[in-house]
Amino acid sequence: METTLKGIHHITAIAGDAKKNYDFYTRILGLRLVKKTVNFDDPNTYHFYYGDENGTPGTILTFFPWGSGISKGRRGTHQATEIGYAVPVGSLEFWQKRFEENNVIYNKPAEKFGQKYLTFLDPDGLKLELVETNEDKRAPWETSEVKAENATRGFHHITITTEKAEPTAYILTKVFGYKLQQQEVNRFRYVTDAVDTANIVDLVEVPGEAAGLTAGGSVHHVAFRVSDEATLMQYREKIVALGLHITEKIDRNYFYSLYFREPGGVLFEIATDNPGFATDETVAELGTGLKLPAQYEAYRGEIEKVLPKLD
Amino acid sequence: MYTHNKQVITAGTPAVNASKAIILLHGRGASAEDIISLANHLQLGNDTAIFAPQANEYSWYPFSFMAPVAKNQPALDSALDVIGQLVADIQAQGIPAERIYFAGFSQGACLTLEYVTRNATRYGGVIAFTGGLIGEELAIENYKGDFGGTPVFIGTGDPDPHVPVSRVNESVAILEKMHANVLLKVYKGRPHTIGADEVTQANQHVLA
Repeated sequence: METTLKGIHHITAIAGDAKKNYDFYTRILGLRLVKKTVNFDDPNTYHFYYGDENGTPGTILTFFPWGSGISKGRRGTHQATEIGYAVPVGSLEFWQKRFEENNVIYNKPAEKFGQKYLTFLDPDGLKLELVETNEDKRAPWETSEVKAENATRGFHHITITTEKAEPTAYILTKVFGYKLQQQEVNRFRYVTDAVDTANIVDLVEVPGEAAGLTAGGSVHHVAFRVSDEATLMQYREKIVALGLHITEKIDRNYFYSLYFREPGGVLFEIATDNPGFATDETVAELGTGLKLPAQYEAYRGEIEKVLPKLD
Repeated sequence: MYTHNKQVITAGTPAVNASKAIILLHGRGASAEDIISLANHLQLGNDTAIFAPQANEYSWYPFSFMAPVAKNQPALDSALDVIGQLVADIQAQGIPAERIYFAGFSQGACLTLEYVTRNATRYGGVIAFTGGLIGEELAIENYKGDFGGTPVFIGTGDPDPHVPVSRVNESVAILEKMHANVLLKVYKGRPHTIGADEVTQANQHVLA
């Protein structure tokens, strides 16, 4: 049994219009829709999972598209505020041109911790970054428009904005096994060597900044990865021992989860690698069907009627 | 016109043995017993003291929460005072503000938001199932303190027959400015009720 935490499992954010979200992530960013299901607690809302071919942990970005009428979130403290994807060195030019052609809002490339990166916003204002690195050896998902030489490899980092880095850093270092690697001004970079990729958490400390509003275009929670349920429950004990409240184990069909709020205010999840996404579809079919949890299968007709059309 | 007596139903673990507390505020025409049943759906853990005060006349104030405040007096001030006394009692039994939670539905959600925003500090968390700050216009001079990152969940229907989304947005802006960590979810076409997803959001955002 592997007992270590292995970086990011998935990141979940909130979107507005389902079709806009689907088009942006599958076409413009070139990710694979690996699972199309519904919010288990609100079956009239989709839950999209985008990732690589297999939906490998560390590549999965998920969305609840709450509909076009939703309020817009705002970045601030107590939030995960930037999602970084790894891309090959030299690909930013391709991406800049692509964003230009598709009216995507972006900034000119900049550099942090010696790596070039490009900041852009999704249709709901969610802040994403493409970070150039040749260290990331994960196999990319290719589309007709985004080929391997430019394609994203999965997550590079997640940024958490906080009034004070220390309480969150305590969880990262003492519980999750991360180490402080570098600091630039108010950005503290924590890395775990348990895995090679999707293993970076940046804490950005901005005292006095207002708390963020979690609504459209903001991150709902960040999930960290463990191998199996036995490891999951070991982490549960560690969190309980710190006096923090943590949920019971929840079956998310494609993984098992625990949720707790870290002391800096961000909702953290710990999720297992098992069973994965190829349980109700084959790898080749991933994302093609609307997959409903068993309790909603009887209502499929009604649910399909109210869910927004994607094509 | 009426004021409130302090009548509080309790459940869960007695406060002296509990490590946290939740105050549940019922809606118009409802009762403390009704709202206490909501506790079964919230992930409170078995170390929580549960308090549900009962409004006289089954109503915390007589008119709409968007009526001029004077029309809702003295009931409104009296209701806020009942909550203040209850918070003081809970603290006297050894549970600090940062482990006191609030949850309310509809009129109780409005009152919850109004109380915590007038007395902002780092609370455990705040759950408002359909509600906004109270008044014909918001009297921002009444809102004092700093939430210090208190997680707040507000769920609301759009349109809602009693609570306009515009007022909810206005309320969120004030809470945010006072450093609350707000999750806002607007449900298209949902009737005036508490949906399963709202309970889940409250459990994840506020009680996790």
